[in-house]
Amino acid sequence: MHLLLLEDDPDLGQAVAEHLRAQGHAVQWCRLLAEAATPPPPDLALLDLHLPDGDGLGLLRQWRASGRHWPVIVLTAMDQVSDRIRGLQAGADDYLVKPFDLDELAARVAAVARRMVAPHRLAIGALDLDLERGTVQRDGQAQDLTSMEWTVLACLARRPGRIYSRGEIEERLHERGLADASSNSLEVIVSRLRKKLGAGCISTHRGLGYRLDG
Amino acid sequence: MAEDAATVATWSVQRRLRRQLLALLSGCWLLASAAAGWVLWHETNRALDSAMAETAEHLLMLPVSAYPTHDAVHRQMPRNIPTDDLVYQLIDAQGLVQLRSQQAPLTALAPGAPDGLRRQGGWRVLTQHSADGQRLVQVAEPSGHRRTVLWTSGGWLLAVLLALLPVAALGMGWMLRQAFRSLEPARRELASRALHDLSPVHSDDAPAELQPWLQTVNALLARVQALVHSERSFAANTAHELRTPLAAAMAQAQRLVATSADAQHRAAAQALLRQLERLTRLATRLLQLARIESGVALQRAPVDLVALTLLVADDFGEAQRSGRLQIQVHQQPLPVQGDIDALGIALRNLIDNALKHGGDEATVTVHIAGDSLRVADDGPGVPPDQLGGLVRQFSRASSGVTAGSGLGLAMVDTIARQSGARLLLQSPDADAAPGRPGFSATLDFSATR
Repeated sequence: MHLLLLEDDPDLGQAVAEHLRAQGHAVQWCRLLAEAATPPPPDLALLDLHLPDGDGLGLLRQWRASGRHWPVIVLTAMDQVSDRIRGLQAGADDYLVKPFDLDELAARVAAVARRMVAPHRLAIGALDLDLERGTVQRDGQAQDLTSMEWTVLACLARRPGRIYSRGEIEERLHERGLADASSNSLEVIVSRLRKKLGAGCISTHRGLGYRLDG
Repeated sequence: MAEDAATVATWSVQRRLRRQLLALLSGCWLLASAAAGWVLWHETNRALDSAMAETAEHLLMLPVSAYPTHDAVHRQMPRNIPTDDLVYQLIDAQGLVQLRSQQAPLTALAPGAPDGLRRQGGWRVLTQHSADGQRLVQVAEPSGHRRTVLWTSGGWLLAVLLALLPVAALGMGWMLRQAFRSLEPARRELASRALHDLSPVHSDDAPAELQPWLQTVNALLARVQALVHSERSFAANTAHELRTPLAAAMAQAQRLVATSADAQHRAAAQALLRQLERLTRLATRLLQLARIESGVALQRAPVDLVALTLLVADDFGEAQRSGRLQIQVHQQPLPVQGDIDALGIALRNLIDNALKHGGDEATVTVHIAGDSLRVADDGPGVPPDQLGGLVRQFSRASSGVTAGSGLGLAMVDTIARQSGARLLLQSPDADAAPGRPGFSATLDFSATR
């Protein structure tokens, strides 16, 4: 898997890059935001937030705004829940607080890698998600999703197996300007997704939220 | 608070003002009365003196034939002389009284006196000679008469003052109470604000006298705000500055462990890693303490307990993947009022404790039910007599940050109290299976509604 690592600390960057290379990944290591503004599309980006030339979240938002939807794991010293929310709202798929265990990082990278079938394409169960184009195939058949449905699916697909609460998913819809006044719109979207993608693809966890099972 | 101030009552501006105003009013009244009395005295004297002079003129103009006989006059002389009347005597060149008013004495009032006014034996006497010097008239008035008039007027002025004082006291009391009531809105605003609210007090509708006070209060609030802010940014900056080198050192140590072929080197690298992990826990705890002491938990915003739990659980990737950390929702969760970061610290500590003290085999479950969060493990539990000792109020001074699980729970307890919630510890846990008593810590937010 091709990884983009953005980390200004030389010792940390070197150890992370080395560890991930030892796992068989190709790592492109940048120390400045400027170097990573328009990178060759990676399969996954590891992003530090405090960089000498600016804020990593800004770059993340810039990526997302310009349609670059590759998975991003934020690596940061900011350990508060609100920092994590800010990171996820900016479009991060996962958030790891420094100091982290290299094996934990490798496990999270591996979870993405396991589903990576080609650049920008994740396979989750019978689904094949093209992150760059925002399309999904079920058993090789392209499925027509509305932007609301894609947003919910992409949110759940950040980490298959992780439960996302109603609030988190609705927040995501809200950011994309897709918020709906009716409170049961999320249920409607999920039921439509189940119809298109297979009944078992999204499970409901009473009180907690929804999970993409693959 | 107003009642407290009234009962303590060291001294009151209102009472002092009322006293001073009454004293001033009385003083002014007395001065004014004295001035009025002085003017009255002089004006009365002038008027009465000119009346006496006029009487004298008229008497001198009488023809001699108008005089009665001496005997008749003398015989008419009454024994008692009323003191409040003007009396007169017409005296001839021999000093004999030719004519006199009824109350006038028989003999000349002021024999040999020159023209003009003088006091003589209890009389104020005006002497006036006729143009030919053959006759003179003496008009007199008892000298006590005018003083009596003056004292009567003075008495009335004082009586009015005495009657006025209680009315003035009541009126001033009312006015002062009204005036001091205008201070009340600002006080009420200060008193009613929430513990964590450090925003400036609104001073637009407060009177000018209160403005400097409110400005001082606002300056003080701003200083506290700045202190809290600097404490918080200290915690945030220090987090970055401490965690980045720790992360680098730990990553390098892990690389060393992973790449070292030599068993001895690997053991050394593992020891290094263990110490770094300890250092990390210490740094984390210090930063958490700094945040809590800066009062983050006093802030209020709606917090979704489910989202909070899911976000905090993300930190325990390994425990989640292995199924050691579970999340269960029992009742429709309600949003609670609190600070998401402070509650995050609390929940993280509870999960951390449960995973550590429950043992490797224990499963930790976060139960969300309505407005309570219960973190339960099915480990060996804690003897009931030790439960109380687990939460002792922590302070950076009295207990080292490296102290065992107690500090973590004490910190959670502080966050709970600052959040208006309660921390309840239970062992065995409510859902305990036989042989596995377990331990649970509940954050109960029901009191925050």
